[in-house]
Amino acid sequence: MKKQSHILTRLKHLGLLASLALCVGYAAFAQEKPNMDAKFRELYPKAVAGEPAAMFGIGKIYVEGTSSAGRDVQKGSEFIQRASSAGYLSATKYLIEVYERSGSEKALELCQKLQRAGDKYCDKKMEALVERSVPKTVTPNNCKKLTDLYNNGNQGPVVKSEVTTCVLQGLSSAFTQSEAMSNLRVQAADDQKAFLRLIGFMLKVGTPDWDPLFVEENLPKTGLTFKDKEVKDLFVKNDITFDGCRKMDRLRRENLRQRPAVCRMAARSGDEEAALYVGDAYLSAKDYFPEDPAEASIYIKEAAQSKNPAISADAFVLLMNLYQKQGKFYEHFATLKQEIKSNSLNKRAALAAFGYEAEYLQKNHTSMNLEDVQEVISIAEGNDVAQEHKSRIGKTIDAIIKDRGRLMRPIEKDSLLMYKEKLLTQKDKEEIEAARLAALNPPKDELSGTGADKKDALKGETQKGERTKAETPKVADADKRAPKPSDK
Amino acid sequence: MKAQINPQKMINSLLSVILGGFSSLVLSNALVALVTFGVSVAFGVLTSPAYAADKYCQKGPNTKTYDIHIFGNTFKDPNSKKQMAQGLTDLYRSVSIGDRIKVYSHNATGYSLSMDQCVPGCPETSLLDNLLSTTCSPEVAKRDRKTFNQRFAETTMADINRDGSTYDIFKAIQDLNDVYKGERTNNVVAVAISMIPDGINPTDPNAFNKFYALNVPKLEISLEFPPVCTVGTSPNSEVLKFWREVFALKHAKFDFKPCNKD
Repeated sequence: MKKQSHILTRLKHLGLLASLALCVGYAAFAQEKPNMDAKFRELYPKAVAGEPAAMFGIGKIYVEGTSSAGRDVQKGSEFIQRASSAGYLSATKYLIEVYERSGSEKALELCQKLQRAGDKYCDKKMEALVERSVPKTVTPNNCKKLTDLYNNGNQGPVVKSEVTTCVLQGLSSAFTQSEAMSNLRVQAADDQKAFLRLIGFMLKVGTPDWDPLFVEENLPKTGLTFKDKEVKDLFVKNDITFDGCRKMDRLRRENLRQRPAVCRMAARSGDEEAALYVGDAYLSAKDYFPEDPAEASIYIKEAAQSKNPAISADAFVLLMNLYQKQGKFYEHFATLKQEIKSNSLNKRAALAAFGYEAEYLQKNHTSMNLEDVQEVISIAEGNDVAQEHKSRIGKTIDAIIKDRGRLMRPIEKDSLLMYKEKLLTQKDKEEIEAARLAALNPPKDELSGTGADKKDALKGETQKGERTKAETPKVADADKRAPKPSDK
Repeated sequence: MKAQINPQKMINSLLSVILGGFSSLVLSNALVALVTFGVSVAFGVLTSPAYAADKYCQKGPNTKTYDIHIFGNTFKDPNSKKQMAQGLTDLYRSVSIGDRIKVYSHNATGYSLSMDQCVPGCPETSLLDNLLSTTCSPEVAKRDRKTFNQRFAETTMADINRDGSTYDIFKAIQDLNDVYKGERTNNVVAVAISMIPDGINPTDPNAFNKFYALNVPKLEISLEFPPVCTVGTSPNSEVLKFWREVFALKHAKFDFKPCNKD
């Protein structure tokens, strides 16, 4: 009685009905229905009397709708279930097929029943059924089911993997915890899902398996990325965030290598604050991060993309420092130039960093392209640039002209001299003049030996100065015609 | 062209059959009746109360009460109507003077007791008995019997299916069952019913298969009859097979024993 009511309860599951309907429906409509009225009449009384073969026969007629009684999937499945419960193998096999097609776990239950009865019908499909029926969530009931499957000889990779999870969560004793952990590490090597499960254990603070560094090193090998949703969810759950990174004791011995891994993973999963911190730490070699401008660059650039203006401004400053440290003048200049010209929020920081351009120009103008030289000088002319940098650049212009000599067209030279006039303050000019005079009247010991040569040199300088003064009005005219370097 | 059955003709035919039977009965009992009459005159009038309302009713081990259930609307085709008339005639032949006849008329809406009367006729008694206890007049009895026959014929044929209206054979069976509701009775229960499901050709097994598949699984019927005999039921083997299956499925006993055969 109890068994019967259990069956009826199960039958109420629409899943079975739907699957029966779907599975049989096509066959029923695809070909003309044979008239099974006579068969129906023959079988019905026997089925009602509980004869298994008749129950199966009537069940099929109902499900397939091949008699005048019409199609009644529910009634049909009740008969087939009853036939199966009464031990009628054909009915059980029929149900297995239906359940299998619909993806129901009951296919496995019935197959196990057949196997226990010594029937080999399910032998070939057992493994696939087992894999398909593996529960998707870890619950005590599911773990019990999985453990039973495992202990009954279903020890394929999928079942083993799920039982491993159960063991690690204390919901199964199919094997020991350490065996389970070892299993999981093996599985995780080439299985993303297993690796994700492994992460759950390895990021749990205070457990013997805690090893963020392992996660950081191995996660990309599985094909996962730090920005995958499942990964990020796990990180948030296990405090792999900037907050988590900040809270960790920097000086604790166990944390020396693990803490940077936590901070890096937080950064790589998209935590911009963490990215900024890690970039800075790499740049300035602090908190047990090695000095590594290349690594710093990755994180700083990430932070610089932030929509949070505070973070992106800090990241910009770091980026400028980074380029300077790396000696990447052109990257530094290009970034700076872009921020200044676009008048962005980082313009102030860009102008503050302009000292590097001034210094670089002074030291390396000989190796620079004239156009770049002209562009640096034209930016220096801007109102917001510190006078200190203007003066430094203005004082370099003579050296530039001298170095390039006749390779420079007069119009270019005039342009530079015009900028020089604008960049230098009166004080700067006086200092230059003083220096020039000091050079004309050197101490006597300095003139001995090479005195004649130096006189010639000074004479040449004077002549150049006179010529420059004489040509200044022309420069002004030429400047009106020629395009400004900054216009390029 | 099919021969049309005229209901009036049918009644007349039934009457003629019934009246014919009565005539022979009268002849064979004429002397007895005469003796009975003589005895009743000689002993004066000792009127029995039973002869007042239905003076012909008798009580004794040999008298019977007949419950005759007429499901006239189940007789749709000419053959079945003939079978019904023949069956009733046969049944009538078996009744005896003093037997009580109760006719139940069933139709789509239910049933009613249309006739409840004892068969007229003077009982066959010894001369002395007649002289001492009866006032039965054969002439009066003969006249009453004629009236009785007329009424019996009219009542039984009143609800025969003349217009081809539909009927539910299962409902008819259930109605019969509901008259008794499982009670025991010593009456002779005769049922005039075709037993042919509406619209089914009784000779077509496929029609029965279809009817079975369509109706039997959803049939909710609870049957517990007293022993019954049938009148005018189709003798076709398919009909009998069908009902045997249905009654077996519903665990009901129904013999299909024709009333005129022991």
